[in-house]
Amino acid sequence: MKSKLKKFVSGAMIALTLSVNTLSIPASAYSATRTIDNDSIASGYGNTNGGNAYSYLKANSLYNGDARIASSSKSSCSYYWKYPSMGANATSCRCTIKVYLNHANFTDPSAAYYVQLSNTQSNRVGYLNQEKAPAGWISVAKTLSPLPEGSYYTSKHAFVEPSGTKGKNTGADAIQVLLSS
Amino acid sequence: MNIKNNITTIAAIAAVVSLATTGFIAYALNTDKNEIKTIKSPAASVTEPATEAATATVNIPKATGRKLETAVSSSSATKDDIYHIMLNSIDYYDKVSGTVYFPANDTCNKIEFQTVLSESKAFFRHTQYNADMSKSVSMDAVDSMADTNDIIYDTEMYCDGESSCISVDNTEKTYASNPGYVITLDSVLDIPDDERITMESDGNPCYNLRTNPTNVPEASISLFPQEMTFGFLKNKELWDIEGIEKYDGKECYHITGKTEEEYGNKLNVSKFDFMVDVNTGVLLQYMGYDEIGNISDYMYTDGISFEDSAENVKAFSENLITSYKCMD
Repeated sequence: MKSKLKKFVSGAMIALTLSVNTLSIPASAYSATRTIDNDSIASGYGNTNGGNAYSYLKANSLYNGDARIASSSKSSCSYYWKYPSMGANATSCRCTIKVYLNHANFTDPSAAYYVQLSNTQSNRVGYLNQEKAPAGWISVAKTLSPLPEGSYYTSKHAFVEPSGTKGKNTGADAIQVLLSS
Repeated sequence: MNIKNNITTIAAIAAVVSLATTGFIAYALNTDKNEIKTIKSPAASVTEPATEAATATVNIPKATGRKLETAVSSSSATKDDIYHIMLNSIDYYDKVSGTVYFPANDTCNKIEFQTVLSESKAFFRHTQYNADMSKSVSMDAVDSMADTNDIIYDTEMYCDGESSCISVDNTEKTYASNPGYVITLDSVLDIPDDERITMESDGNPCYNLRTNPTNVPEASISLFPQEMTFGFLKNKELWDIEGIEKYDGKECYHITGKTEEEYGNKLNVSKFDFMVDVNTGVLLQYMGYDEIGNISDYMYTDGISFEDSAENVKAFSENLITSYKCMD
């Protein structure tokens, strides 16, 4: 009797433990992160200075001491951070960007950040008020479903798009891109 | 006796694990589905009477049917409550319209907008006027400058609930579609209050924002003011709730405070003044003052209306762009 009861109880506990493990921990088949600084020397990757609009800026407060800056009125001139490919077969993904902002001249009220998710489309992850953001890393994330390509995503770059506002400046320093599914 | 004790102990452990599991699973499922948060902030739960807490999730506007959060009673709201509602304002409204003004050097930006979050529909018109900020020693002066017709920038954006929006540049007479532009409500992730500011391995703080589903980026300074909430209010020793006052017909928390040195130097703002809608956490007015007390920064709103009182989203019409050049 004692042994049967013990078996029953331990069986129930194992079942409960298994259900905890299988139900409470979401499956994460893929997760990858890239950290890219402005300019190729610091990050090791080749970035693109859209329209050659972004001038070089040096200051101790910046990530690795430098960044790029352009007039926010140049909304068609994006700064591209490029990185080794990330991607997976999936029907949805979570995109997170972390942006380093620490300069008084970064003042764009709504700089838009996009992450490439297919060979033809990039998706806006969010937009940041660079002027009102406190100094440090600013993170914003979103989930995406359905994906532009339906069953997979592939990413080799992210970019910031100036808001178009005159009299403000868009900064581009270090960025971290995290994709998971 | 021994078996009984063992069974009791195991049953108790199982019950605790089961309860924790249920809660954890509920949280995980909630996170996975990106549902709108229905849990009150810890601070609110502590300070609110049970009867008010029980009604907190029953707020369904007729216009959209989306379940909204209900703010804690303004008479008992704590600083934590205000911090929370401002960082999560999008949970407290669905349909909103109005106008937002803020400066950019010697210009004033005017954002007229309508948006419905649950439908991902939005319209805004962003115009910029010449305005000499050196004369802005009072709110009236700022007001009069915003009325000028000296427009230097004029764009519109139409989002009809599809993934692509149409942008119209009335200054350059061009238009374009913007694929991947829309941020839908179901793509927004919840972030617990205690995970809003984290420390990175490089020693820098990381401010974790929820992405903004209003699709009116330039009005986020008012509608979803996360950056300013972190910047001005994260140090709760530096600001006070002066009381409840009316702004543009709405009950607001009147907040005054001083800036932290680094943030204040960046904005040239030593002291600040907020008017925060008690029902939504929307920032209706911000005034920043430099060291000698002059207005050095501002944001104010006009006619912000919610739900059934809000204007419908302006629809795009081909007639608007008959002589415009397509940039796609």
